[in-house]
Parts: sequence; structure tokens; C-alpha cells
Amino acid sequence: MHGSLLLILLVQIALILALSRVMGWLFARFHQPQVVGEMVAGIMLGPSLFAWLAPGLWMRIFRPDLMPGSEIHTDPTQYLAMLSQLGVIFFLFLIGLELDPKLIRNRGHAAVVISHVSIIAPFLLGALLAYFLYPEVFTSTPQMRFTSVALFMGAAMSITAFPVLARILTERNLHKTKVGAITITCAAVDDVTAWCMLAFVVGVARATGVQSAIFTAVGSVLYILTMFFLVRPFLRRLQAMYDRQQRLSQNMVAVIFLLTLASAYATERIGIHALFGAFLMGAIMPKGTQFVRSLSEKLEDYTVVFLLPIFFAYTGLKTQIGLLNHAELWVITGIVIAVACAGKFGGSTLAALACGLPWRESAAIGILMNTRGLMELVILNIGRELGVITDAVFAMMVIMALVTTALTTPILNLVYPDRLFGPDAQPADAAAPGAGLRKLYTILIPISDPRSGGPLLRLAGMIGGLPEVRRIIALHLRRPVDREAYRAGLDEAEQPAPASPALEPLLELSQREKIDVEPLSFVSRDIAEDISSLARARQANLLIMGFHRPVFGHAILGGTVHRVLTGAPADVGIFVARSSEPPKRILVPYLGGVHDRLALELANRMARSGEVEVIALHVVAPRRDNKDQVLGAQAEVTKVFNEPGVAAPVQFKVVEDDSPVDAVLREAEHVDLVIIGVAEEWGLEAQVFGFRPQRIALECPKSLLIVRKFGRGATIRPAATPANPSTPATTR
Amino acid sequence: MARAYLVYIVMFAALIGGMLLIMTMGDSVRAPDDLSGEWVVEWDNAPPPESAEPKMLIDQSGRFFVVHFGRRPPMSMTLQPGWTGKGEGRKLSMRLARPQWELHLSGDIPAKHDGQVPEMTLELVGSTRHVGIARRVRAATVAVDAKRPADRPIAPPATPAPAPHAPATAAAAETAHAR
Repeated sequence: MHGSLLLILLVQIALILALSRVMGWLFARFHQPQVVGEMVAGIMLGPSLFAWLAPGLWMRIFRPDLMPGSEIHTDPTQYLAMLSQLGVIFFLFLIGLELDPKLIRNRGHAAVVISHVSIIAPFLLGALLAYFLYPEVFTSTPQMRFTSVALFMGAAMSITAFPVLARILTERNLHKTKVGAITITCAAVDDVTAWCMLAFVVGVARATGVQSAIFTAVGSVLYILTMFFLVRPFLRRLQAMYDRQQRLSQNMVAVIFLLTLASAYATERIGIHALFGAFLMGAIMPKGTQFVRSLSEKLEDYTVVFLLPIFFAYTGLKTQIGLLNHAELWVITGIVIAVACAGKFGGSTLAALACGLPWRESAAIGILMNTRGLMELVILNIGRELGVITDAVFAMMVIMALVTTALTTPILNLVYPDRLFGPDAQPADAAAPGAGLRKLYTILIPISDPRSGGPLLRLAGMIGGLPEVRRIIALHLRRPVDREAYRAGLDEAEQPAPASPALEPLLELSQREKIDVEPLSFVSRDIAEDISSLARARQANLLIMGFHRPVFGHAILGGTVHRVLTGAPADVGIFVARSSEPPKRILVPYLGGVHDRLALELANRMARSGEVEVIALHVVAPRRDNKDQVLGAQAEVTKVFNEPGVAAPVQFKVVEDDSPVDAVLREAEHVDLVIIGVAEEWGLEAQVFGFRPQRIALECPKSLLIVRKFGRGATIRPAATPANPSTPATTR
Repeated sequence: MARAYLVYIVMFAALIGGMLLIMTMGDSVRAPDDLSGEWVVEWDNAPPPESAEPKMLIDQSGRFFVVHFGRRPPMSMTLQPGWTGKGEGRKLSMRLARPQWELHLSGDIPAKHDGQVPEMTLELVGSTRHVGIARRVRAATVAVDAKRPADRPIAPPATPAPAPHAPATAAAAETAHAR
């Protein structure tokens, strides 16, 4: 390869990877599957956008061979084509690898019917559409015979993107619901059927006569027999070897790769396309073991992160939306999208309704099955290579794939909203009026870092009071796995909540110290929002979470913490643990604000045990008449700690200092825990929104609990300040 | 349960019956003959403006054509009803139209070479009239990557090729600007 050509290729790949990640991230921000962003990135890099906006630059990067006086005489996109083909081969191998035969074998009656209808209905409609479109947008070539076109359009309409669908189910925690179970089964069946169907279509399209058709048919039978009766037993031996060694050696990986390539080669030679060979190789691998998991982990990052974006870009290079330059062609594109949705969504929904499922569940299944994503692009590229579809039809179908995939999440949100079926909705008992749970003081502790679980639980136990009157929920939210494109992380998501590793230390402590806790774990695409939703659903009184050091900046109350602080429908505490020992002396700086009042109330709850000493610290400006202010603060503290029946000891201490923060830091030396309300006087409230130093949070020598009161009053700035002592002492 | 079985039976019957019906109906439909690809044009009279270069490039998706003459802006044209092709016999006759312009194409269809017309007469009629003979340089075989627009520069290799398939007017402007 020419040196300049290599440089061009490196630039191309770097551009593809960067844009693909950026667009994937951007679309994920809008709750779209990442793969939609990657597909859009591919189209952006092609003639439809980049070459249209900057033809010179596009040619310099993608087709320098066409530049006048260029040293390069080879089309560099040929190398992209090779890499993308290789990427799709290994991607299909991974898809086969993920295919769990249990999904297909242990099917319920509804799943059987829906899965078949979800293939038959779109297949028929696709073939019927071909009848109407054939004289309009197809041309009379030997490859584009009506039979081939009708079969291909049918197959292209029936595909479902198993990986994207599984990912959506996992993200929305629907994988354990009836809808999730049926949909995932149907998608798995559709996957197998679609690839078999495609092998048939490719065979028909490539057949040049009876002789070649017989060769393909006989070759296919021999190939399948070889795979099941020779290759599969050999793979079982490899698995046994893996089980003995407990590791996947490089030699083993090499053998499997060789077999994959040989299988792809065989099917390509037979005439049913290399991708079918790769898929079947993955499908016959022994399942349900660590062997397959290890293999896919070795392969997936390279394939999904590196090779698949190249496939998207290569597809984008061939997608010429500019070819749709007649209004009629856009009308046809609309019809293609409508037929695709009618076949897949309509067919699946009606079948589900016929099986007796409620309309919402039926519609949700239909919407999910209508996701086509990357799998559609794979099929379309095969059709284009075979010459079964024109470039304009290719562009129409790419748009259809994008639209049907992008529509899935928003429509699913409308038809099957989280508020009705998501994880927040599950505790019907908690939400039911009269369930009595409001009598319990409910504390929600979201755990991100397993090490923070113990201290948070201990603190929650002390604040919650006696076991009979408290309820502690430990929550671990997991982000969806990053291996988005082909794997849903279903296995991980299916782990029962207590098995979540992040909660293990907390559960051990819970048993040791006899603090009852309810563990909860699920996948979340928006952690702050889900914490708030769960707090609302479980009617939490208090939410305590650890702090995080952000990657950028210094604001420890930023990011997720900030969003929970300001958005959760409960009082919130951010715990900065600097000791593992239970606190004996607690300092509560008090100036009179609603958040300070909450700090007093929490300290009071802890003091009721009788083992904790509380010091309420009031800081006033020196050399001023602070008598009224001090009396007001003292009265407030006394009121909190002298509640009838639950009185607790408290020491009220007044300190004169120009800087309340310095005073608190000085006094904190003599206690184990500081509970402080978010307020500007403490240098905290303003920092929630900015980057000014949060001295108390950063410099406090002892453990710190920063609290924020929920409710209208919480937004009112405390008026009594050392700098302005003439203002009223409290705002409540 | 019975209702589900009924759906199942109906769908399979619909699949078999439907496919048989569609395939039977499909025998009667035909797609326009394939004219896509690169052609060399020999003009009998003066070539159209900006088309001194004797090349014609056709992008075709069924009835929808994009025709490039030399450096002229691409012309989006639609095949008009009443055309004849290899379905009718050995004579190709097509009329492509767009506002203000028409292109008449006619030629003999050979029995071999997949019935692709190797040569045809063309008549471009609009504000001016241009007549010539077009000979196929290479068939646009979709299975080959050469079909990609960037592989089909309408300018000589020494000059940069136009932006592939931008909308007609924009592409024309870009092309003009690039040169």
C-alpha cells in the first residue's frame, strides 16, 4: 500500500470513529439508541451531506485518487469496503453467538404466533409493495427480476434488529416483563428466520440456471450437515478444554476465527452469502457457558467500536439521498415507511391482540418489533451488492431503517410509559393509599461506589430511628452496558437485585449490624431522573447519597448529585464520609434557614438514641448587638429538640466570627460529624451551580452531611445572616 | 387458544396464497429497460451548451433518470408513458421529460448481452434541438462498485469530479464553483 494511501486511510478511519462516537453519544442523550446516531454519522460522511457541503474536502479525504495530480491512483474506499465487510462478518458471528436456543425452544403460545405473524405479514406486504414499485423504481436487469425483487423486499421488510431491541428492553427494564419476554423471543426467531430467508433470496438472485440452483441447494445441505455434525462436536471439545483451563487461549481464539472465516468462505462459494456462514458459526457455538461469554468479550469491542462504524460509513458513502430528487420518489419513500410499519407493527400488534394481550402490551410489542436498525442496513447492502435494488431504492430503504428505529423509543414512551410500567411503577403496595407506609420514615440510599454503602447504611440506620418506624431502601442503578450495538447485556440485567456487586458490602453490614434494608437494582439510562422517580414512587422522606469527584472541575455537588439535590421530591443529604466509626458528637451550624432547620431535625433524630451529643452552633458577627438574633435561633433549636415525647439533649453554642465558614471548620475539629444545610452562608448553595470553592465540603476535617430541604420553603434564601443581622431570624 | 391457532392458520394460508398471487401478478409487470451508465455521444448538430465533451452519464431508478451531458447541470427527467423496450420486442423507444426539455431515445435491442441497448439515437428538445448517437461505454452493473457516483466523473480525469449526487441545482452550482 502506498504510504500516502495509508495516511488517507488512517484519517478516514479516525474521522469515522470520532463522528460515530459523537453522534452516538448525542443521540443517546435524546434517549435514542446509540446505533441510530452511528447510522446518521455514516450518512453524514457520504454524498448526502459531507460531499454536498464540501465537495473538495470530501474528495481529498475519501477519493484523493480523483484529485488532479494526485499521487494516489487507488480508490481508498475499497479498503474501507473490505474492513466493513470483515466487520459485518464478525458482527454476524457475534449475533449468532448471542442467540440463545432456549429463547426459541421454550416459547409460549403467544410468542409462537406473534413471531410467525411478525415475519409473514411484513414479508407479504413487502412482496406486494414490490409489485407496485417494480415498474416505478426498478430497472429491467438480469439481477433485478421481479421474483428476486419481491423476495428481497419481503425479507428486508421482515427484519427486526435484535440487538437494538434488546438494548431498549434493558434500558427500560422491560426485559423481565411479559412484553419483554415475548418480544425478545420473537426477535430471536425473526433473526434466525430472516437470515435463512436471506440465504434463500441470495441463492435465488444469484442462480443463473437450473445447474447453479442445484449446486446451491446441494451445497447448502452439505454445508449445514457439516456444521452440525462435524464442526459443532469439535466446538464442544473446545468448550471442554476451556472449562478445564478456565481461560481462553489465543490459540483457541485463532481456531474459532479460522472456522468462522472458513464458514463464511464456504457459504459465499455456495452462493448464499458469507454473512450466513458467519451467523451460523456463531449460532452453533455451545451456549450458556462462560466460554461463549469470554469469546464474545474478546471480539465485541474491536468489532462494535472499530469495525461497525466503518460499515456505517461505507453504507453512508453509498447512500445518495440526492437521488430522491422527485416529489414522487419522496412519496414512494413515505409509502415504503408506511408499509414497513404496517407489516411489522401492524402484524405483531394484531397477532398479540388475537392472543388475548391487552392493547397497550400488544402495541408495545408491535413498536419494538418494528425496530430495524443495523440489521436492515446489512440486508440492504447485500441487496445492493447483488443488484436486486437500485441506488434510489437503497436510499429509500436506508431512510426507512432510520425512521423505524428512531421512532421506537418515543412511540414506546407514549404507548407504554415508564410511569405505568417502569420500575417506579412496581411497588403498587407502596403507592396504594392506606398502605401505612407513610407512617414509616423512608430513607433511600442510592449506592454508586460499593465502598460508600456501609457508611451510608449506618448513617441511615441512625437517622431512621427504631427498626419498627424506619424503612431503608438501598438502590444501585446500573448504566446500560456500552456494548450497545449487538448485545443488550441481558444476562447482567437479569441478575437479581441483591446479587448486584455494588450492594454486597452494604448487605453484609446490614446482616452484621442488624439494620434491615431493602435492596433494589436496575438498569438506568438517566440515573438522577430514576433516583428522583423512585423516591417519588416509594414516598421517600429522605434521600442520602455519597459525593463524587467529577472528571472535570471541582464541584463536588455537581453532575448527578446536583440534579438529585434540586430535583428529588424528598429531603436530600450528601454524605462525605471521612471516618468509618459511628458518630458520637455532631455539630449542626445553624443560622435559621429551612435547610439548617432540616439539619437540626436530622441531628435530633440521631440524638434520640441517647448515644449522640449534638452541638448547635450559631455564628454571629462580632462587635454587634446580636441578642435578638441569638435568642431567636436558640428558641428554634430548643423547639426542634424538645418535641413532646422525643426530647433529646442539645448544646447551643454561639460563636462570634466574621467568617461563618472559618468558625464551622474550627469547631468541626472537636466533633465526629457535621450536618449542615445548603446555604450561601456556608459557601454551599451558590456552588451547586458554579465552581467556586466549597470550602466546608472540601476542608471539613470530619465527616459531613450536607442537607437540602425539599419543598417550596426550601427555595427561600435564609434571611438571618451575620452580615445582615437586622433581618428576621427565620423564614418559616 | 383457538383464536391464536386460527390466526396462525390464516397467516400461513395468506403467505402461500399471497405469494402465489403476487408472483403470478408479477409476471405481467415490467420495469423500464436499463439505460444507466456512461455513453459516448456523437452529435449530428451543435451539442447542447456546456456539452462539448462527448459524454453522457445516466443514473436511473426505474422511471426516474438523472442525465448528465458533459459539464451541463444534471437534468432530472421522468420516463413518460407509452415507452417500449425488450418486453415488447427488439425496439427501444423512450421519451424522458422535465419542464422545458424532452429527450427522445430509440435503438435496437440485441438478443444477447442481457438485452442491453449498445447504441441509441437521442434527440434533446427544449429551447434548442440537438440530435446525436450515443454508444454505451460500460454498463452500470450495480454489483460492481464502479456504480458509485464518485467513480463516474463527468469531467476528464485531469479535473476534479463533481460532488456526487447533490440535488440538481446545488450540484450544478458546486460543480461550477469547483471549476
